[in-house]
Parts: sequence; C-alpha cells; structure tokens
Amino acid sequence: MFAPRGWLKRPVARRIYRTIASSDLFDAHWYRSTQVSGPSALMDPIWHYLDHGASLGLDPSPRFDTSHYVHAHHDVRSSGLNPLFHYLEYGKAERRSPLRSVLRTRDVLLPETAELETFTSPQTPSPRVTLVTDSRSEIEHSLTLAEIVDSGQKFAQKRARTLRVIAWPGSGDLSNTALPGVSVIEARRSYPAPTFDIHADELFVSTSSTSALSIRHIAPQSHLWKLTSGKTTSHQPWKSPPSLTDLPPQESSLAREHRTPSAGRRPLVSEGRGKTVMVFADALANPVNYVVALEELDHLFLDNTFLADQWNVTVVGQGVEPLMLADEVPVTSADHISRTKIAGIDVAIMTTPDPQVEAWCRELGVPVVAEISGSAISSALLKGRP
Amino acid sequence: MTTHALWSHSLAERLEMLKSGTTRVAYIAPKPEYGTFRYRCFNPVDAINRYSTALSASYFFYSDLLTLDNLADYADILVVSRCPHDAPLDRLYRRFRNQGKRVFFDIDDLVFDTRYATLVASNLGYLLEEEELNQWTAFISNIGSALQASDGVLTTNAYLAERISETTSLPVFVVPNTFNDAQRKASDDALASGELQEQGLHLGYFSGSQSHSLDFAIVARQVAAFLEESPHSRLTIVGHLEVPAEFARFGNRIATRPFMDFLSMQTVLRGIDLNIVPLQDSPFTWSKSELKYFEAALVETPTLASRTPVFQAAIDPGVTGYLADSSEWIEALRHIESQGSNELRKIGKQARAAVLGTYSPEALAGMLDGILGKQK
Repeated sequence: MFAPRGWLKRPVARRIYRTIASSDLFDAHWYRSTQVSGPSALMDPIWHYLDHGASLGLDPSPRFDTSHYVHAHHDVRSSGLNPLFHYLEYGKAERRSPLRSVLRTRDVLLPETAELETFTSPQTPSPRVTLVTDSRSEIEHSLTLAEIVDSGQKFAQKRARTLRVIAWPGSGDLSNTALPGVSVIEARRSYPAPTFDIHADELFVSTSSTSALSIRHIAPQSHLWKLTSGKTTSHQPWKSPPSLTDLPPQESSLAREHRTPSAGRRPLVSEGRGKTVMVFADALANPVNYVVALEELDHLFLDNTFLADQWNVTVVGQGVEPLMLADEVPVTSADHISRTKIAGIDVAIMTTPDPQVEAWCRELGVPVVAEISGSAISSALLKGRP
Repeated sequence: MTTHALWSHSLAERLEMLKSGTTRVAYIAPKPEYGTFRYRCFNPVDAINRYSTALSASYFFYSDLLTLDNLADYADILVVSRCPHDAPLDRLYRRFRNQGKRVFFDIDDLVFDTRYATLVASNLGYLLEEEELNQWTAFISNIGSALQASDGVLTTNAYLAERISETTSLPVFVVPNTFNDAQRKASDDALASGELQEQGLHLGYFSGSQSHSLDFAIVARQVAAFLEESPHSRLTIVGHLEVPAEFARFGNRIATRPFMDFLSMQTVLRGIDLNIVPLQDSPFTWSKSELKYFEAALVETPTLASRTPVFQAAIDPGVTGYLADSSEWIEALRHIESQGSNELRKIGKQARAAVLGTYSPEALAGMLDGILGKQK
C-alpha cells in the first residue's frame, strides 16, 4: 500500500485522514475488494478514496453512499470537502443521512417518476396549462408526441389558456411540427435538476403513468388532469392520486443505467443483529416491484418504531445499492448470495422471480413473500403481533 | 452545538408524536441546534405534547424531507422556523396548501427585512463587503420571502411583531421564548446548591454567541471599575466571550467557562449572585428575547439587564430584577451590592415565582392552544 511521500505531513490532510481512519464508515478491506482494482488496490485505501475515489462516486463502506451524499447536499458540493469527512464532522450532528432514502432510491431507479422541481411564481396575466411528456407517453397511448401535444393544445384553448410542454428525453420528435403559441421545453435530466416556474392556478396534464407520479404533489388534485386514450383522446381530472403500482412491473426501460463502479462482486456483509428480511431483486430489469417493496418496508418501519430493533434488512441482486429505511435502519446490499447464507434468513421477499433462491428457501424452510403489493410484507414482519 | 439527548428521536418516533384526534402541528427547522431550534421548535413541541389536549406536535429537519414523501399527510399545520425560501421549502408549503392546510412562519429576530441587513451585520460584529454582503442580504431577503408566503407569523415579542406588521398584512402572534421541562427539573436540582457571597458580588456573564462581545463592551469599563472598588467581587464569563484586556489585572477574580450544555448551565447560574445582561441599544437588540432573565430566575438568580423594551416588559425593577441604561451600570452594581445578600435572595425568589407562571411550558401550551388550536 502506498501514498505520495510526505502527504500526511500537512496538518489538514492528517486531520482528515485520522478522522476517516477512526470512523467505522471506512472499511479498508471492503473498499479494496469491491471498489478498486488493478494497481489502485495496492494504494493506501483511505488515500485513494480521498484523492480519487470520492470524486468517482466510490463508496468507503456499505454504510456510506458517496454519490447520494454529494447529490443530496448542495453545500457539500460547493464546499469541496471530502463527503465522508463532511458527514463525520458536520452532517451526522445535523442528522443528514449517510445513505439514500427509499424516496431517493426511487428517483434514481425510476427517474421519470421523480417529482418535477418547481418554484411557485407570481401569477401572469395569461393562465396556463402545462403538459408533461416522457418516454412512456407515446407507448401508453399509441399516439405520436405531435398528436399528444395537439390534444393538449385543444384542452388549453377550450379553457382560454396557453400551453407549455415539458418534454423529457424519449418523449418523441416535434421537429417537423408547427406549434404556434405553444411553449416547448426539451428538458434534460441533470444534477442539480432543472427547475420550472409554476403558478397558483395552473393546470397540469400527465400523459403517462410515470409523468403522473412526477406531478402528484405540485398542485391541488383539482388542478391535475390526465390524458386518456381509447377510441378517442380526451383529458380527465384525477379521481385519486397515482401510485407506483400503476406502472408496468416488468418494464426494464424505466430503469436508469447502473452507475456505481464496482471492481468485483459484492458479497453479503451481515449486520448480525435481530431477525433478517432479505429482499431479492433485479433492480435494473424490474425496478418497479423492487421500489414498491422498499416503500412498503419504509412505511412499516416508520409506522412501527419497534421494528428497527428487531429486524435487519438486506437487498440482494443486480443493481441494488445500500440505502436507509425510515431514516434510521441501514440496509446492506450484495449482488449474490450463497445457499449457506439463505439458512440465516427469517423472511425472503422476491421482487423478481429467482428459481434458484426460491428452491433453496423451500429446502431450508425460509418463508417467501412473492406477492409484493397488498399486505403480505406487513403480515410477514408483524406476524404474532396484535 | 447541535445534537442533544432531548431531540434525538428517530423519524418514526417523531411521526408517532403526531396523534390522531388532535390538531397535529409539524415544526420544521433547517437543522438541530441549541439556539433558535431549541426555543422555537423543540420547546413548543415538548410543551404541546405534555400539556395540550387539543394539539399534538413534532419536530422535523430539512434532512427528513429526503425520506418523507409528504409531511402534509401526517400533520394539519406546518410551522416553519426561520427557514430561507428555497425549492424544498416551496414544495413543502405547496404540499400543505394542496391539502387546504395552513402554514405559519416563526421568526425570532430581524433577519426577515433587508432594510436591517447592515444593522444586523454590524451588531453581530460582521465586517461584510461586496460578495459577503450580497449573500447576507440575499439570505435575509429569502427569509422575508418565506415569511410572506405563509398564512401567519409567530414571533417572540411585541417589538418584532410591530416590525413584521410593517412588511405584511398577515396576522402576527407573539409567542415568547420559554424554558422546557428538563430545564425546570435541572433548575430545581440546582436550587439545592449554591450560597450567595457574604461580601461583594459574584457577577456572571453568559455569552450566547460571538455577537455578545459588542454587548459586553458597552459596560466593560464600568464592570471593571466596580471590581476595582469592590475587592471581594468577582466575575465569571461563560461562553464565547474573550476576556477584555482591562480585566487581566483582577487575576483569579475573573473565571472563564466554555460554552456549555443548557441544562448544566443552570447549576452555574445558581452559583452566581447577579446575572448581567448588557445589550447594545439598537433595533437588533430590542428584538432579542428575555431568555437570559428567565433562565437565571429559574434558579433564583436576579438579573441586571439593559433597559430595552423587552426587559422593561419582563422585569419589574427592584421586585423581580434590575434595569439600567448603559451609563448607569456602575451605580446599579454599587446599589445592588449595598442592598446585601438578603435582598438579592428575596429578588431572586420573586423572579422565580414570576417566570414560573409566565415562561413555563404550561403557559406556552396554553398560548399555542389559543393560536393554533383554532386554525385547523
């Protein structure tokens, strides 16, 4: 292991190094075996994390998510401080989470459902309708984007309003379409997210199950409409808020590209306290079921304070990453599991079918929850409680 | 200092504090800390949950918004404590409004009105130029925007309420700072200890923030002169204040203690004879609360304070404490010393009796019942 000669002679560097070295959030063995490879694995792991790793989004241990911490906190980005050092020095006392919440995990895995970032602006003289389109709009309605926008324009004109279209990537092509009086914003997903002005009496129209989720909180329900299509195209006011379960569960196109650089396979690291619920998932091929299961667990832990002392949660499979349930229950992750480890599970939740794991569970008598929506997860965790 | 055992509840525990069948009040602050968060969020929440039957309450931080999809699903009223307007706050306001729920803004000093930006900066001892001044003014402007976007304002005293009403037609309610149950318990325990000096006065100066060096400076020369002529008197300074050079000659008659936990502070307060609270004479200090008076009074320690509107309203001179203009401090100290320890003890007991009624969690819960209980 090596680091540049004399590097630790600088007092500030020495302080940062010591703070991280004495923290249980840096796991040198885990870092070397999962986050780096080749010659990098020979470097002092803390020095590597400080000098390269953090800026590449590498994690110092399964208990600290570097990219989450940087993306969630603008002051960390602007400070230029190493994110783990910032957390240990300031963030922990300020109750910032070292891991991504379920809400943010959903935003990462299903970016088209992430809430539209908006600011309320003073009312303009002309009232407005905003139509939100994304990669599912054309698919769900078998219409072209031009046809969707055209119907939105009629909806707006009927109400004497102007039309603004927020078109996310994959919405379709409007380059050969004349749209007089329509303001089209071709939005790009970025960090920080683009922000849109909205007005108090603005109407919003969702054109897909994902865009519906993205606008669910931005206006009173009476201002939210959705595009419906069948024999004819029309717009309907929302009768109830949209839900993740409205999305097609097997839709892999919804998932983002897997981000975390990983030099090797990530084995299971057991927390070793309480009972264990293990969530098996392919978060890339089937993100919806995975996120629905996580949300169910999140609500359970938020509503039942005693669960945090009784259960460990682990997620296993492709594309899963460590996260925090209910702001206090760290969830470890692994991309594979052996038959031996299955024996230590108290409940297995299958968000994606895995015949091998299910066979092991049957063989070892581990209860399996395969029905994700509904009350199956609650029943399994609250079993025996009144 | 930020964390404290009193406000270390998990998010699940904090959601559990919001009880169905009551009007549920969610207080939100940018982050936990010992000052504004304690007085304006934790203390009201603690008081409501102990002494109100109509309300239940809990406290939240910006970091919780990364976990909770919609805080408005759990609460009926939102109280925003001194948060600048930004995207997360804009979304939070909208979520409550979308459900027809009301949002209150809580502010405990003048940092909502850009007209006072330079005044506040100079009173705090900040030397701000160009970019720093722009940022400071923008911060104040954003706090003002968040205030203006609310449905009503809660503030600490009548002077601030008047200044707020100059900038908005929103209803403004005065809810003074108070002590909490743990502080009362710590004070009761501290009362068992501490004897007054037989000769001279043991003065105590408790500095809450860096700004207080300017406050202390207005009376430093007179306090030093008093110590000169009263050889048995001494001074304990607690907190951030650097001891002025003119006090070096008093040697071990000057003691310093680091900034400390507010519960431990009650024991130190009990150990002194007279709590001194000098303040600069400006709209900034007029907007400050009377917390230094009632926290000392809880342990029967009388306070000598500058004659600002807030202390004039709180202290009955010669009955529950003492007031002095900046030029009168040495006379006031001589007078208090000449009265003797029996008089000091009597004033201390009268001050405690007064603050137990006015600044108690029970009084706070009653006041909030009256304001927020009608808002659902």
